[in-house]
Amino acid sequence: MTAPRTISGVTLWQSFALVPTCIVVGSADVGLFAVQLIAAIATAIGWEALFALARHRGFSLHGLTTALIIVVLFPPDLAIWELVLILSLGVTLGELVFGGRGFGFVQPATVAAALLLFSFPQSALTPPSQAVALATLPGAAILIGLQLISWRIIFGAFAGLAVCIALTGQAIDAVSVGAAMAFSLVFLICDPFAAAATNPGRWIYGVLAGSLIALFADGAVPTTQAMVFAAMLASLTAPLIDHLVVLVHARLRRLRHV
Amino acid sequence: MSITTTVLRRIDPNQNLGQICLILIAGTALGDANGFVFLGIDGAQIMKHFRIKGGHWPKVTNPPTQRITETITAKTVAFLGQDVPFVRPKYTLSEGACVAAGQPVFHDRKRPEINYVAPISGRITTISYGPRRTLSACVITADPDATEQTAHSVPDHSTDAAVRATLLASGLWPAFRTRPFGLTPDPHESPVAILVNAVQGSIAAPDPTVVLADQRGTFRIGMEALKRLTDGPLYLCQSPGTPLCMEVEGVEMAEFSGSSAAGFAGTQIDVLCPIGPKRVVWSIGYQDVAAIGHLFETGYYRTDRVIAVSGVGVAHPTLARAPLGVALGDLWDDNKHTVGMQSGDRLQSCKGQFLGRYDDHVCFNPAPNHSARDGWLSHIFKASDALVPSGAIETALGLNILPVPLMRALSVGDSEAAQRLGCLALVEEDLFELTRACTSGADYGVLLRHVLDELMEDAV
Repeated sequence: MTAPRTISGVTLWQSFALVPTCIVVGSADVGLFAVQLIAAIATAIGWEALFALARHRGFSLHGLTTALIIVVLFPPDLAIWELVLILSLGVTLGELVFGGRGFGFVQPATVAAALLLFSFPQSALTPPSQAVALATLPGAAILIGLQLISWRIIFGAFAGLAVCIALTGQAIDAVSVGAAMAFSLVFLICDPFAAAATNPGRWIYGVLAGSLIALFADGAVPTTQAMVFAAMLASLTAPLIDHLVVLVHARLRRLRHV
Repeated sequence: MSITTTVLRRIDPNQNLGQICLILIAGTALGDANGFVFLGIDGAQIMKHFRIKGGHWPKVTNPPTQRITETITAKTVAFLGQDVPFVRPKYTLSEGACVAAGQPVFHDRKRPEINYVAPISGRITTISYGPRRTLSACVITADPDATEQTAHSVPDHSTDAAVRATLLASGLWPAFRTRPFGLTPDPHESPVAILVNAVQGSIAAPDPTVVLADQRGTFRIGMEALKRLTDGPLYLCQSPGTPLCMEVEGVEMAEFSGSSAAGFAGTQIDVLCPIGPKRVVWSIGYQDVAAIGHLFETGYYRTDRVIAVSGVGVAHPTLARAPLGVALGDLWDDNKHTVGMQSGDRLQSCKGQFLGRYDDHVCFNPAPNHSARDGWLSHIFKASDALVPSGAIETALGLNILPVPLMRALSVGDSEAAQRLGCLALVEEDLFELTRACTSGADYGVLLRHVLDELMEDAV
């Protein structure tokens, strides 16, 4: 497998990696899921088209990934108007105002999920299940194989979480913690544009994200809410982490020159 | 980039085990000192070995047989402006004039000491200028009326000034290139080190041991002449194998292997003697060193180099002797390969008609090099593309430089940030793989040259 050389290729591979999870989630209630999926894709692509027209740019289908992540994360009983409203805010504020996919610094699905939790506090995100986590694995393997997401972040996140949980003195149930983290870790925290972009930075970012998950989690097993907020905060700090890594690296290079 | 451990090479078979262990321990302890450590026990030496993991790992189809089988008689040769940027030529001969091989054709207007001499005897057929009257191309066509190269007296190479004067007059000075900036060095400048690049970067290139097999003596004289030009170290970088130059004292040797980035002088300099704004290092190719040796031995300027000709559809990929700047059409009798011929690395994809001054191999690549961006996906989605910070980018550089921050700095033309990240250590060739791996479609070599130009103006 070679890494895609175009950003459309990145979008297609990411969407492809999301398919198994969507099938698992959708199999619970096919009709409801199909309606949500169509509404989400129409919203995300519609906004892309609108921005493409307004800015006289080429049209892209990058919103597809966002829509697929959203239908997995959002509760199945969420009203369609709520989904459309939140997703519209998510893709515009998280991505399109910056110029489209790859020009922002947060994953739009993370923004949408966080907005949902703020705006409609009574609604809860889909609780993690082992079936969803298992369905995430093939997608994660593809994305790691294509080097689109970094294993450093995944290891860093598990290490950060384990240390934080161990510090509180709780027992770690590795299987349920892993199952709870899998989907959001792979598609929200590891998103190549939201994460840190240097290798040392990726370790720090991963550990930070893991610690934040432990901080927001109620008890030993993190909830999806905790994952979303951790992803949000961690990706806000990613540019800072990269900046610090660059400073240290530049200092080390200068020392070599003397 | 990664540096592996010290390797023991060329142990005298008569040495006992105790001595070998002693050398190994001492070598490991002294391993931090750059270059090689000469221990003086029965001529055993420890050569530092560097394995470069970052960069392009070429897959060469139809690599050349490492045997020099042909001598090409060139019909046309050319000096190209792209090899010597910023040079504004002042011609000593006009268009249509006859010129003998080794005779100066033009010199640099700003630095009149630097001569450029004809690689073959012939007639100057075309002179063209680029922007601001810089050199674009100067084409010389073989002509039976032209005289042959005349013999000079054997030049003296005992002092720095004598070596400089000879190299400047004979046209071998442009063989040197500086880091930072990758330009022809100033005639009065003294580098902190000189690095001789004898690493076979790809199996599409000639093997230096084959090329130098019958030129060991001249190569040694060339190395001795180079030693006069700097007070700092003289490095000889080579591929793993028998040392290329044992006889000259004070030459620091290092072995490089790995990706094609191992064959770039930039990678070697960054490992052995990092440059800085005020620390200039010169690099030179091993064949030019042999030519310098030949000049100081015989008084003749040797204008031919060994080049490898390979690629798809070449019946007998092999090594051949050809003059500098030879027209690629002259390399092959049948003209069916003239489309898609490339001077230098396949990666560089600079489709020229002539051999580049610093290239030692030619690839025939009949299928046009479709970039991935021309694929069907891009026809459907014509959006502007962003940079995806993927793992492929992390491994694209042979040097220890953070690629994504560098690409961002180059994209916005932030020369200050780029310098902080280490862009002075780079020239275009170091970034080919980065350009290939990136989704944005930007040519980072071009962006780097803009930033380097800006930094150069600031430095003056």
